Formats: sequence, C-alpha cells, structure tokens
Amino acid sequence: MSQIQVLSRVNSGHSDLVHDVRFDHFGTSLATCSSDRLIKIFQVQKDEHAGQTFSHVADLKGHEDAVWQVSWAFPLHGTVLASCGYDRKIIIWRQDGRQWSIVYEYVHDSPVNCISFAPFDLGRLMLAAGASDGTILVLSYQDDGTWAMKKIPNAHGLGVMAVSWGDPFFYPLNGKRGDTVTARLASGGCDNMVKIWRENGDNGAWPEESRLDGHTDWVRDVAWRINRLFEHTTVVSASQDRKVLIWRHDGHTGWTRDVLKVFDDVPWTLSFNPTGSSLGVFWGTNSMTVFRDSNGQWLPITETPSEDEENLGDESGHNTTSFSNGSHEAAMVNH
Amino acid sequence: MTTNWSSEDVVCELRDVKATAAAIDFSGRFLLLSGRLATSIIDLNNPQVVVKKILRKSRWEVGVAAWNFHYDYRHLIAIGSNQRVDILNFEYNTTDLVDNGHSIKGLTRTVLDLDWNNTDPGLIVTCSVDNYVNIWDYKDLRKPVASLPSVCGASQAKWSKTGKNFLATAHEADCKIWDFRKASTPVEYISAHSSKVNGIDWNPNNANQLATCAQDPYIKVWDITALKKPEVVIPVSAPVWRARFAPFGEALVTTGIPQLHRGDTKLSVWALNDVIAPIHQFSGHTEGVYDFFWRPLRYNEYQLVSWSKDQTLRLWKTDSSIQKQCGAAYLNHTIVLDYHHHDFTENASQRGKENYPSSMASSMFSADGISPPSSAVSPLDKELRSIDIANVTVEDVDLKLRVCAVNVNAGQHLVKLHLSFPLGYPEISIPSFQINTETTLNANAVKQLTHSIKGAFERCLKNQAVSVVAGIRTVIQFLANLSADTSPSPRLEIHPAFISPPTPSPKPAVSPWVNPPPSASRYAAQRTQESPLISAATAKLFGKPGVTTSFQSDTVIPFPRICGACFAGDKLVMWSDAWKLGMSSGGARVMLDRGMSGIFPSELSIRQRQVRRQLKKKGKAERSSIVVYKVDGLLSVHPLLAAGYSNDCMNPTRSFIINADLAEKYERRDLAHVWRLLAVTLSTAQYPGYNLPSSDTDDAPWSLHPFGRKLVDSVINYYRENYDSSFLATLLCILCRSGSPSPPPPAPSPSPEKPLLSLCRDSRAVKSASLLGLEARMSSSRGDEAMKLWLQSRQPGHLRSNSWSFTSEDRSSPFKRLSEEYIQSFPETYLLDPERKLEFDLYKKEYCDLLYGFQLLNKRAEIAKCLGSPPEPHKGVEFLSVCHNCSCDNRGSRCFRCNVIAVSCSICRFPVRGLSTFCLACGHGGHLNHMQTWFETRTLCPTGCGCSCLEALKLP
Repeated sequence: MSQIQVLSRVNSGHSDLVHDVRFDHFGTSLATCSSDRLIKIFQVQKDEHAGQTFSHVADLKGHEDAVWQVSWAFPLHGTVLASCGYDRKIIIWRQDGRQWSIVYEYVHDSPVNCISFAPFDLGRLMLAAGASDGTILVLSYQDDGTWAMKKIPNAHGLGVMAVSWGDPFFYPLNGKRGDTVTARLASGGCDNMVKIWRENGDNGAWPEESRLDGHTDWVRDVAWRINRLFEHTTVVSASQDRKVLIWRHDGHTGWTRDVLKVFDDVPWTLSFNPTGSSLGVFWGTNSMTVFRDSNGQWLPITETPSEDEENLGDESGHNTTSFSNGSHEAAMVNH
Repeated sequence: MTTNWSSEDVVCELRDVKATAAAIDFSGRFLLLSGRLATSIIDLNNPQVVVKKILRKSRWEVGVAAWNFHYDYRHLIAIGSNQRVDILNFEYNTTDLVDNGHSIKGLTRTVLDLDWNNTDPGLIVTCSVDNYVNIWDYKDLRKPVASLPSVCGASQAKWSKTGKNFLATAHEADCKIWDFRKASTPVEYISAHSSKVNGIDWNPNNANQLATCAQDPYIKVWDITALKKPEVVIPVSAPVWRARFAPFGEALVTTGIPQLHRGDTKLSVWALNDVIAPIHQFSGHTEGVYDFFWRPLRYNEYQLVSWSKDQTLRLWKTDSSIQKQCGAAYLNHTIVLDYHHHDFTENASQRGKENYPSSMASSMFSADGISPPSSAVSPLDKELRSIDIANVTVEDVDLKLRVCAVNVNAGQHLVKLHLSFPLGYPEISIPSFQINTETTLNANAVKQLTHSIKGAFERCLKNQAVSVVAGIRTVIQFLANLSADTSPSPRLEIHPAFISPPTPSPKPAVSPWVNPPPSASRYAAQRTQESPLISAATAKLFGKPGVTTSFQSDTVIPFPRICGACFAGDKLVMWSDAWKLGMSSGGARVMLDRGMSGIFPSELSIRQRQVRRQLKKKGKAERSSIVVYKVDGLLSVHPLLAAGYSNDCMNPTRSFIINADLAEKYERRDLAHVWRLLAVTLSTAQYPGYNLPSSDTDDAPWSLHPFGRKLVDSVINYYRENYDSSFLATLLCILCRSGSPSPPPPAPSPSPEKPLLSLCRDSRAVKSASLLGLEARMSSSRGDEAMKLWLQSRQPGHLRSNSWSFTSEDRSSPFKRLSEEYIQSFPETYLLDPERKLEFDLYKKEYCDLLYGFQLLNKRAEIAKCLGSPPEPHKGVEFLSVCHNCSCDNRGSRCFRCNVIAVSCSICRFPVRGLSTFCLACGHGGHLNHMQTWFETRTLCPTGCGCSCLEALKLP
C-alpha cells in the first residue's frame, strides 16, 4: 500500500502566485488565496469513482492586495473562513447557503502575515493573526455577535511569521489534564524566536509564557501538535537557517530542544497530520519530507519526489515503511 | 518608502579582530576596534590592513571605547571593560599604540558608557549601574572631579557637543541633563520613554537638540529648552540601539540592537521632517551593528563607517541625494564640520576651541553661487502677497527670517501651517513647514497631510515653480476629502522590513491622497537611477491600485510563502508556485540569495520575473500547481478500520472478534492478533470477582490477573505510542462497562429501570464462562510464568504482593463474599484503571475528533456516548426544547434568549432546521435521516443516556 498517491491536481485559476491552500476540517472544501487578491473555494466532487476532482465554486472578493493566508473554523461554528493579507486586513467570511458574505473586517496598521482559528475544544470561536509590525491579534467571537480583540504588541520585533494554537489540554494550570482547557499560542517571527503565550483567564490578556530561543534566522513556520494521547506536548519550528527544531514539554520541567534536521534548503511550512503521528516539512521549492514519531524519535519515512516527475504516485512508494511489523506481541509481554 | 540596495564603498572582513567596541579618531582616518583579546587600529584609507594591534590580557569583553576628538588630546583613547577604563595613547607620527598603564579603577560596576568632553578635553565621563555618574580628569584618574548622583544607574552619558559643561545621561526610561559645575541636581529631567533608553545623542549643529532612542520602540528628538513635548517622535517597529544625528541636514541614523540574534542589521537614515519611513537604509551587514561613525571625506562628502557583529567593517557612501532628502538640500553645503577637514599637521591651537558653526550663521556665507536675496522686491514677498484664496489667511510674515504662517479653514477643519523658506527656495529647495499642533485633525490625518503637502512642494520644485499656493490647495483638497469621507482613513505605518505598496484606500474614488500619491512620486524619484525594469514595475505598482484584473506581482512585495503543504483528514495538499519564478533550476540558490532585496528571500528579482514571463508565453503557466495527495497510509488510524470497528460494550467478545476479522481484512495482522488475544483473555473479566471459572469461590478479581488490567494497560500504552487512537478508543469503549463504575452491577432483583441491561448481563455471564476454558489453555501456552505468578497470588499467603488493600477482616475470609458493594468500592476490580479515567476520556475525544474529520458521524456518536462525563439527564417528557447554546428552556424552535435554533442533532451536532425526530422518553434526537440511520442497527439512544428509544416508543 503506497503511502502517498496523487488524488487530484487542482487548477487554481489564479492569475498570480498562490500563497496558501487549506482544506476544511472534513477535507471536502479547499480554499486558496493568491496575489491576485482573490480567495477561491473549491468543492470536492466524488461522482467519478476514479478519483476526486475539485470544482471551483466561489470567488471571495474583498481584499485589496495579496492575500497571504486563510484558515477554516471548526465546522460546528458554521462554514467560516478567515483570511489576512498585505492590505492589512483580516476578513472573516461565512457561507450561508451558497452565498459567501463578509461577517467581520478589521484593518490593522501593517500587513498581516498569518492567521489561524483556534481548536474547537477551547469552546469559543477564536482566531489569532500575526502582523508584520510584530503584533499578534487575538479575536474572539462574543455572545452578542461582536468580535473582541486582544493585542500582543511587539510579540516579535520586525514581524510575526506564523501563529499556531496550542493543545487545549496540555498542562492545565488548575485542575487535572482533561478537566480544563487552557488557551495557548505559539508564534514565530523575524526575531528568530519562538514564543509561547498563554491566555490569562481573569482578564483575557496574553502574557508570554515561554521563549524558545534556538534559531539563528527568521522563523518561517510554527506548528503545535494537538494530540490528547500524551501528557507531553510538541512544538516544531522551521526557520530560514534551514533548521527544523522540535520543542518538547513534558508538562513539568520545561521545554527541551532537538534538531529534527538541517535541510539543504529553507523549510517553509510545517504540518502535522490529524493523528499527530506524522510531521510534514515542505522545504526548498518543491520537496516534502514526512517524519514519523516513533517513541519520541522523528524518523523520515517518505519524501515526495519533485513535482516534475510525471508518475508521482508510483514513484513515491519506493521508500514506504509499513506500519505493521511482527513484534507487537513481544513488545507487550515485555511490558 | 525605503530602498534597500546596498551602496557600500568598501567591505572588509576582519575576522581575527573580534572586536565588540569601536571608536573613530578626530580626523576620521583611524578606527579603533577593541575586543576581549586585542585592540587594533585600522587606517580607513586602507582598511584591510591592521595598522597596529596590541593584545589585551583580560577576561572581560570590551563594552565601550571612545577616542578624544580634541586636537591636543587626539592621542587619547579610553576603553571601558568591566569595572575598568584604560587610557591608551596613539602616536600619530609612528602610528603606534601605547598602553601606559593609565586607567580608572575606582569603579564598582561595569562601565556602560564613556565620553570625552570636546571642549574641555581632559575630561571624561563614565557611567555604570551604580549611584554615580563620574567625571574624571585625565591628568588625575585616582579620584573623580565630580560625581553626579543618580538613583538608578546610568546607561548612557554624553557631553554636549557644543556646550562645554552640559551632559546628558540616560537612566532607564528617563534622561537627565546636567551642568557638571552644579553636580548635585540635574538641570533638566525628561521622562523620555516608557522603557529603557538605549542611546542618546546631541545634535552637533544645534546645541539644544537631543535625540533619544529606546526599547519602547520610539526615537524622539527633544529641544532642551522646551521639554514638555518631544520635537519629533519617530515610531519604529523594533527597538533602536543607537540614534545619532548626521552631520548634514536634519537627519538621524539608527541601528537595531546588535545583541539580538539577527534583529535589525540595517542602518536607517531618517529625515526629521518626514518620519513616516526612513529615507534610506544601508543593508549589508548580516548581523547587528555595534557602532557607526561619520567620516568626512571631502567637502560635503561623508562616509558612514560601521562595525558589526558579523566582524565586517563597511564604509558606505552617502551621496548628495541622501543628504538632499535629509533636508540639507541647500544649507548642507555650509554645515560642514570644517573641524574635521584639517590635516593633523596643521596648527593645533585653533582646533578644539572652535565651536561648530551654527547653521544659520554660516548659511549667510554660502559660497554656492546663490547670493542672499536682494532687499529690493523679494520674490518671496511677491508670492506671499499674491495668495488670494477663500478661507486662507497669511500672517506673521517675516521676510528677513523667511517665515510665515498660513491659516486654512475648510470643510469643518482648521489647519495652521508654519512655513519657512530656505535660501534655495524656489530654485533648489522646498519650503520646510510644520502643522500647528492645535489643529482639529487627528495625528493620523496630520501625518497624511504632511506627506501630501511635501509631495506638492516637491512637484513644484521639479517644475521650478513657486509652491506655496500649491501647498495650500493641497491642504484644502485634503480637508474637503476628509469631510466627505468620514470613514477612518487607513493608517499607513511602513515597516522597515516590508516595502509597502501604496495603501489602497477603501474607496479609491474619495481617496484622501492627492493624485498621484506623494509616496509614489518620491519612490519613483528615488528609483530613477535604477534599471528601467524597476521603474516600470514601480509605475505599475503605483498606477492603479484597485483594478484587480491588471494587478500582477511585478511589484516588489515580500511574500511570507509561495509554497507549502498541509495535511487535512486523509489528504495532503501541496502547492508551490516557486517553479513559476523559474526557481526549479538552482532554486535553492535563488531563494537564498539576499543580494538585491535582502529581506524576503522569496521576493521576486528581476531575473525571476523575466523567467516567469517567458514561461507564460510558452503556455506553461497553465499547469496546476496545487496537488492533492491521498495519504491515509501516513495516518496511524485507517479510516476503513475506523468505519468498521465494532465497539459494542454489551457484547465485548463479539466486538473483539469482529474487529480482529476486520483488521485481518485490511492487512493489519498485528491488530488482528491483539484483538483475538483480548477476546480470549478479557471476556472473563466482564464480571470481576464473581464469575470466575471452576468451583472454587476464592477467586481474585480478574483485573488482578496478569492478563487482566496489566495486559490492558500494556496494550493501551503500546498503541498509544503508535498513535492508534482508533484502537485505543474502541477498546476503551468496549471495556467501558467493565471498566467504569457507572453502570450498577446486576442486583439480585433486577431494578425496574434497567431490565434490559440486567438480562443482557446474565446472558453474557454464561458465554464468558464457557470461554474460559479456552483462556486457560491459551495462557498456559503463552505466559507460563505469568500464569504461575497469578496462581501463586491466589494462595492466601501471597495476597499482600498483589497490591490488594484488604483490611484484616477481609483477609480472614478472602474472596468468599464478594458482594456488589465490594466490587464497587474497590477500584482494583476494574479492568480500566479508574485513576486514568480523565486520560482515557481524552483518548476517546481524540478519536471522536478524528472520526468527525472522516465524517463518520455515527461512529463518533458511538464513541462519544461512552465518555466518562455523560450529558445531563433529561427529566420527564415535555415539549420544551432546551437551547444547546444557552441551555434555557424554550417552547419554539428558536431560543428566545440567544436567537439561535434551539435544537441540535445528537448525531451531527448541527442545529436542526428541517424535519426532526425526538425520543419521547429521553427527549434526545435530531435530524430525521440521521436518527433513521442510527436506529436501523441500534436500539439505544445516541447520546448515551441509556434510553432504549425504540422500546420506549412502543410503551403504551
């Protein structure tokens, strides 16, 4: 069983560079954003049994310059999408029937580089965005239909490049793990730092909780693994210095640092798969390496070939490691 | 708008110098670089060569160095390191550096700053975080001449460059100005910033001007005669380490904090009359700049010398265009510090005793061919008299000082402009102006207006036209627009790291900008010497904002990303537009190239754009750059397995077998194995304690058996390591009845509420008993040791070893009367560790979310109903709908309080809008089709309330 198969190629139809592509929670809708100021929505069509195709269903117009990033809210909040861009805007879109409309718009002082909706477990519709003046904005939807904003000024001097919401169940400040949720944010930026912020339950402020110093160049992406199976938690950060670092917190002592790998080229984005078992690092112009966690060791398991290879699906199977092996029984008895 | 091209004259890397402090001599020819290991002298005429190097034997880094600027004392160099200041001698004749052992030793803390007095040249000031700022006389270093008391230590101390006795010091966020003859109290006290002041600097051309920069991050320029408000405030994006006046014009040069890993490595030049963005940035250093100096080259030509943490020395050319932008267009020719221009063989007696010529005075002796205006009919007078516009008044005209004030009253706003006309006006310079602070505009609008007026003036300069009228018309237009468009205009704050496009205003039609935007004109002007390609791009950039179709990325915009990948469900989406930029060949190199822009590696360079155009012509651009992959193989949970797993807690053994078969079907033989193993070992454990094999009654609960809880724990831990939340959650759900104390064990007389449950349990008891024979065989073959241990543990004498917490009475008759209460009260009897209940719930939640992502909603509901915290029980049958949002009772479909649809479906959790169905007994329900699907195969309520909804409806 090959681990990676091409399912579909999407012709975005954007007239300019595409900056972000995101699936919704179900993997049925796709949002793309581009320098041509548009956000396009694609819907999966499962009619043909041969494979899934994506058909273009909507264009969202509202940005006045390049759109940098989009983020889908958890579907229980409705079909809600947030976008940010070089025009300094944060726009929240909502689909009602077939119509998309803008439900909220905010214009910041400087271009907004990244945006991310909070995990559903926090119980509130919240989103965080990082701007190029170093501010992190946290917007949360209020019961009265308004959006409240908290700002973290000067989170990263020279600009915030990535924000990622933390594991809501990790390291609760009061109560037991699983009982309470804690809102945290990880962010990375042009000061080469990764910082952890925690929401103060009393006044809603976001003080800095930790500062993870290890990169020697701009941090391009940060990803927090949301996984409830473990007490420890993991944050990964990718930087212009070609390093991907793994930060691990066991819930008691503090953050430890490990180098995942020093790549040959700049790693751009990081993404955990839904089970949190694999980490995908996109680096260079067209390379992707997937790492798999095996007892705290992150091992590269597969690498997508360059897109120029025609036969992508077959090609990728060459390095497949099967998940099954025969030693399970022995492992259990030894326990 | 800032350009970032480097224009350094000389770069030289001095790796072996390892200096952390630098100082320049009075002539600007020699540079001192000092580090922990050595102190070196560089001749800037030939910077590659170290003229002289002496080794230091110190454990401490050098924090600060200063060279005496006075001609008579030009040989004196002070180097501060830890609590010591060494005074070295530099012999100009032999270019030799001599350490005579002179040093200031009486300090108690690390020296943070030192400065030689320019006019009383033997004096040197030192400051540190102790209670005094000390002033020493070079001739006697044993005791300070004066000590200025300060509560918190000073981080900076600078002598005024023009006034002999004045001194400015920085204390955390505040600044003090001292007259050192009156050392007890400061002359002035400035609450300058909101956080630590990093640097202070006196204007060499204006004795009253002081610049401060701080962590907050602002740069402020103060007039020490009017300290209520700063004269100029420059908001910056990152803390500034040093801000120093340039010798020409009204300009500051700033640098970021060098101690940061890679903060701001650029040297930014700010013109004080236009603080929206730096007018120029010198970029090239790869690490922070420790120090920088101005070096006079020729008449009105300066070189900027910078020494950085990257151990390179750079000499930057500052051509006349930069000086011009600093507002020194005309006057700058005369503000030259002639002080620097003398060769050091010249007579020394004049040196150092001269003050810097004031700009006003020297401008009168301008030798630039433009004579001062004749007293006859001044063209300026004529121009000012000719102004005849409604609602505009000109007042306070002083033709000698060439100043006037203009009041403009339009569109509910009043603006007062103070204009000052330099001598070069209108031929070669523009009037400088200030908007009166008592205006009805907000700060934001003032900023924009300043910009607009400046643009108008500059255009007039280009056309060699008089500009006051144009400036006034700009103001009127601006005010009119402002009144028409009451929506808050966008605030443009340009980040040094981001080259900003013109701000597309929300409504281009009523844009407050005069046309074209002043920033555009300036930008274009700055770029005219550049290649035509860039000019074209600029033109496009500033051409028509708001026309979507014509917009192309031919602008120099920094991209946060143009490629990446993201997981979602069982899919992975990858996108890359890098190839569009022609980066596929040697892309890595191109993307890392910091040459042209140095800011965003992914920024388009001209070459890349060309490649892209070619690609487009060839029609390759149509290729899709977004690829969706199926990556379920990378998931630790197989969606098909997840869909098929049975998690029937009423019939665990059957569930185990079904799951085993399913795992086998999808080639997960390891899982099949484990399911089978669980089937045979755990089926007996459903009735801990009382349903164990054979006739003997003194059984330990099955959970204590090595194949009991231990096995379950081991399996759980193993699959947790493998991220198989599917297996974990399914197992936990199957065992939830035997694992959680919530369901009551069968009472002797079945309770009327739960007749079905009790029946079910009884039948299972029979089944599990019959399976036990098999279990015994299995265990003897697999784990003889474990079995033996367990058998031993069943002997009364070994009870202790089994972590039982029996009291002595219990031990006397062990296991004989294992009643229901007993099982309830002893957590050891449960197969699932009750202490890990919260944790196990998290596993289930994790799996629920995963199933939700897979859109296996029924499966999700099945798992979710086994969660340890069941939903609140619904009481009675009433046609009230309880709002899922605010939990208030409602009689309609919408909640009266929060106006959302009150009822949410138990299966998909979405609000129910269309047809719905609800159980009359428990009140749970949801979408009709969801409920139908659910009850096709099941009889119990999906919420886990225990209601047998199908049965309940049949009740009479």
